[in-house]
Amino acid sequence: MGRLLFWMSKPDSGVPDSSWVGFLDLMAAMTALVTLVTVVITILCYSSAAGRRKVYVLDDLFASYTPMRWILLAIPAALLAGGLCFWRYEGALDSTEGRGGVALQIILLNGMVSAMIAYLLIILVHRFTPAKFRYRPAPYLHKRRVGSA
Amino acid sequence: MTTLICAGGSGTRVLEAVLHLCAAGLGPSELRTFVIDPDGANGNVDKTRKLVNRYQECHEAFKTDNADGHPFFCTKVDLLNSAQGLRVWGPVDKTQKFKNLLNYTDLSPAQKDVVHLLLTDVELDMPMDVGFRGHPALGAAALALLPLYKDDPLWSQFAQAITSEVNERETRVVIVGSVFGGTGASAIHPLVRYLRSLPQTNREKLKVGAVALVPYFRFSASEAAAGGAHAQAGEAAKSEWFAPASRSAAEYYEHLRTQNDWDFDAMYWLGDDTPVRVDYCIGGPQQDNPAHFVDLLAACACLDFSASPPGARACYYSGPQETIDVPDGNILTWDDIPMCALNTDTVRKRLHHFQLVGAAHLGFYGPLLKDPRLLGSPHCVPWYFDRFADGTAQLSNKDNQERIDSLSTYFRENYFPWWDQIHSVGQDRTRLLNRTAWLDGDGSPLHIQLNRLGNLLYPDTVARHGLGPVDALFEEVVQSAAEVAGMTNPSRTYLSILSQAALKSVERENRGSIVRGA
Repeated sequence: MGRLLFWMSKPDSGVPDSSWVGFLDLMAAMTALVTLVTVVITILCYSSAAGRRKVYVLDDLFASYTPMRWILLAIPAALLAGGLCFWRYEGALDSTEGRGGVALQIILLNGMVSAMIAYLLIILVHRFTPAKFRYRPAPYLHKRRVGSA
Repeated sequence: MTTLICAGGSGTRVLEAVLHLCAAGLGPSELRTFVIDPDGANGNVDKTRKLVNRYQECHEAFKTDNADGHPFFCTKVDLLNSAQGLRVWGPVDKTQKFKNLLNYTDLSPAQKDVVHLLLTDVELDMPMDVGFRGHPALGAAALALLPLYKDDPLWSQFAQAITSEVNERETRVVIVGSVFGGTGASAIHPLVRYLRSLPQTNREKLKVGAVALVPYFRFSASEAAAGGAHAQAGEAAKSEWFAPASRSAAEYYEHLRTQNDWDFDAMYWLGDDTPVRVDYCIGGPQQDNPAHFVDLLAACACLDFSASPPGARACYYSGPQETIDVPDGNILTWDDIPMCALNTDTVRKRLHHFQLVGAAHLGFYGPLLKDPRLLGSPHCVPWYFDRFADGTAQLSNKDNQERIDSLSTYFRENYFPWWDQIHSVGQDRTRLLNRTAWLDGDGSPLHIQLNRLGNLLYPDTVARHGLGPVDALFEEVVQSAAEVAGMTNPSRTYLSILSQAALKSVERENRGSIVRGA
């Protein structure tokens, strides 16, 4: 599983290869779990927020589409993953060298992957978005049609 | 085809009601109509003429061209090739005195004696500038000469149309007018006789109905006396005459029945026991009486006859309940609208449907289509984006904007004000629609209250207030946009989408009310 993090190289040459591989396995499993949980929670929260959103007056149609903000849930999830990485690094590798850099990569990876998967699911799976807001999650996809109108 | 002949001011107001019902989709596929009123410049005629023009605009703009479409404005109104809109025919010249019409000066002394037996000097010298002023004797004399007008463009076209139609199919003609005034009272029977003389073959295919209105409004005699020289001279119509005039008319028609001289396939008698007070006016542009629920009942009678003339050649009555003790007085509910061929539930549902379309259009969708944000961000409104933002189907172009404007104007200036007048009669007597849905906080029309969109029918129930139905209707519109077939112009498609969505909402509400009732 550690091969998911194939681009990561050992920051400290003194760390045994077996320890590094074991650490990467742990980080990959944690990333997969955090991403999965984050995506599920994001989709549930998004779907609920979009479903609760009503059209009572004209302004409701043109107001910011706030349910999309649930994608930002990827940020705390990524910070959590980075924190776990930072915490487990020394215990797994008996070294602190390069700990910050590896944790930062885990933060970015978790954040981007969670946000991207959640966003793709929102725009590809129509049942998550009420029909009345169906074009709101990805307005840029419809700009060309708008431009030709 | 059905022909509706409206006699006098009351008949003209019934035409107004018929047009609103036709707009709601309750009318026949084709309706030929014209007005008989010697006072063709009176306010009611002018208002109805404008309404006919607006209806025609809406019919042209929104008539559907496939079975999937909405049912509204589908009645084609035939004005007998009139380029000037509604035709108003008067049997007298406005510059004449009544005696000129009778060619009085050339009559022999014996003939003059007969004239004096039937008419007073005041009536003979009455100028005809504002009609018969509630004198049926004058109208009857003038309209008895109807066969002499056979070369008049209106009557010749009408006669030609009727005679050719009866050779092809059943033809229905409804005459409507009051029997307590001047023109209506004097027009009904001469007209029926004239109609019966028209077809030379297939006479049984000509079905003739009459709607006779008995008093449902009044004005003060003292106001009439203060109304000017005409009133002081005794020429003006007086409310006190209405009851005896109605009685005389009823006795006359009863006489026709007993003497087997009955030319009607059906005759509908409609009135009210608490006549509403209107401002006195001798005629002319100031005569603009408000709509009354009796107009609505009369319109329903016309459409009922048009749908299927009853075969009994009988009289039908609609008036206040006398035998049932009604604690709230004499009220009008949906169940009080008399129907034979039409179904009360169908009529109520259709009017509810149209009411919702009108309220939603005026209160939400019309303003949305005018909102500049829509052009900038059409993706925010999926039904618009899917159906109207692209290519030739754009709803924002000038032609379609004009069509949408004519629909908005119809609802704002004609339809809702008319219903408001209907519901203004008495204190809460008309219990059909929820009047608070179109009144603002000060009680003046016209301000659509979107929080009453789910409570458009009487009564106003706090538990049914709220903006939830606005959201639910929007969802239905989005869904309907995917289902409704395209029409020849985007405005028709728009109305069809809104209509289908509103129909689903009405059906859902009806199911809910049935469950609540259970």
